[in-house]
Amino acid sequence: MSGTPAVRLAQVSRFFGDAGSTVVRAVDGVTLDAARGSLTVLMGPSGSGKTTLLSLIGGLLSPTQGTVEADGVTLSALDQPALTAYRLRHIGIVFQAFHLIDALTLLENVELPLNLAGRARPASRDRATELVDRLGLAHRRDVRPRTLSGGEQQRCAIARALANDPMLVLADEPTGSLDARSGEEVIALLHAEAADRGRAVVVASHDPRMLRYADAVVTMDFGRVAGLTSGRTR
Amino acid sequence: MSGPRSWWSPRGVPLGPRLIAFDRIRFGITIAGIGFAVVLLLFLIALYDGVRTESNGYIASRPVHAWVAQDNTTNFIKSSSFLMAAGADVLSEVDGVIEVTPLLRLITTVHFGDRHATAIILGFAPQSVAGRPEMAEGSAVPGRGEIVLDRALASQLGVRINGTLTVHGRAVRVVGLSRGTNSVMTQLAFIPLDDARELFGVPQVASFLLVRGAPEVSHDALVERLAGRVPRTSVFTREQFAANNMQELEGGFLPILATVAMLGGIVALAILTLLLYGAILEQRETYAVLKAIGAPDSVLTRLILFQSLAAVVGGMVFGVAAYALCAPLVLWAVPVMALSLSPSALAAVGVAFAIIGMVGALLPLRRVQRIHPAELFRA
Repeated sequence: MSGTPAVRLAQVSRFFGDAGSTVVRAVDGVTLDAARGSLTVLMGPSGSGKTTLLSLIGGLLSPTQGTVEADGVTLSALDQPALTAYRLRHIGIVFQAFHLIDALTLLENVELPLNLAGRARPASRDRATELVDRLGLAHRRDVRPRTLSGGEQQRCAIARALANDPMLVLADEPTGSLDARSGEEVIALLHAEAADRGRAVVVASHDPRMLRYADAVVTMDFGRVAGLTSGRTR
Repeated sequence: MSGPRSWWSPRGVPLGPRLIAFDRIRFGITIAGIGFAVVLLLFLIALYDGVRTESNGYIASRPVHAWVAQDNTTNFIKSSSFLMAAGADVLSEVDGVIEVTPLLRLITTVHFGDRHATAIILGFAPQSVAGRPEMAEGSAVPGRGEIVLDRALASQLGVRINGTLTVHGRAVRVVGLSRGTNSVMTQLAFIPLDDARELFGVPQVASFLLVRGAPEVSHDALVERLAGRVPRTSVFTREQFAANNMQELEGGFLPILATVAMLGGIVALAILTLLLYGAILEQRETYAVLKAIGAPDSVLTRLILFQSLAAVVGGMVFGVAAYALCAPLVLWAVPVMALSLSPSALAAVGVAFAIIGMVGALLPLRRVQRIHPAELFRA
């Protein structure tokens, strides 16, 4: 399982701006593989293109040039409904600001993607409960996200991302809003998802602690890959 | 694996109700806004129906075959008509006629203490059922020196049965209160024909002749027989005369009410769209999250429609309840107001607001379509 490419980017570019105005090359000619069972960390200064690259991998943005393949499927060839359906079942996304739905309880936030994917209760509730318990939130199942600490909210967001058992997990600055201890827990969780469950995990981060867990480190600058390092530095 | 399951399914997370419950103050404001529009619309429709029913009620319900009026007079509401009462004797001779009753219509001011009101006084033959109004209370057969008043007119004047009014300087005692005799602008009052002729100094004159025929004679056939028998008269079947009156109503006051009712609907649509649009902006992050985690457009569409229709249903319940509470107060404060709300009118308002709910969701739907999930990475 480990080593099989889950994501393959070939000469992917994404430009913003119309002809006649200034064109921003947010991502420019990036070629990259992210293997199953690996944790890939995108590093680089703000504005270097990390987040845009994550959006391209997750199918939230379409590339201006090049192709994005996930598990052999060319995402850039899919129309919006097909891309949305693909994302629902195969890609989990974790945001820096958590972005949990405040109107739902913690358990419902995790259960929702399962319902959207066609799993009904009681199976969806059982699966959400299992994930919430596994991520150490059993005692918080029925509370609203606003009442949780930052670390708890991010663990809930990870549980939601994992609900449909995706082969690819994307995380944007997952430790950016957390204290040191919570940040460590989240990094360990993401690493475990890659190492123990064979997912491809791609993380955009400024957090140097990530490097200790990374299987590959991609350094971005001005939208290009400025450096690619394999192996962990811990 | 089956397709995306509805979020309002009892077998999944009830996202729609949860979103409403979470933002209940805004939702309450939306319901109140729609509710007030519903109340406004219900009052306008009730007034529209009330005016239609009440203004034409007496005319349409006469137990007669035909109305005879002065030539060129086509209706009761907006015309004057003077006939020689002797025409009744001529028409009585026509084959198939059972009874001819004169009706004298005059407009005057009636006084009760320091209150007064303009009324249409109808002089009729009390011994004949043809001219008797439908009663709410008391006697429909006034004797000499007595009067039957429309109940709204009585409320307006503050007079009750056995009270004494002054009509044209003469005291008359109230013996009954009628219904179906209130056209909002003016109301009917009934006195014996002889009193009317005496009071107004017009002996041997009638405004209309009501002709009752034998049951086996059709209204059309009797009208044919009556036509031309009395010079310079027009003869109408009861149905035609009632239709003429309705046409007069629909050409005057009612279009104004219909226009205001339509404006009420437009206001409701604007309120719903505005408040729903505001709710979408408030929940922008939620919709972006749903898109990011893979919710298809159909789910988002249903979510918006659910909120819109829930607001409409809530607004309808609020509006109908408020109408039920307010209508008696309005009738108490403005006795001459004619309100009539039928179940079919209520159902029509429900259907109209369901359509308004769906149309009102269009703009918010477009807004949701423009929310891009990638924006979550920036916040």
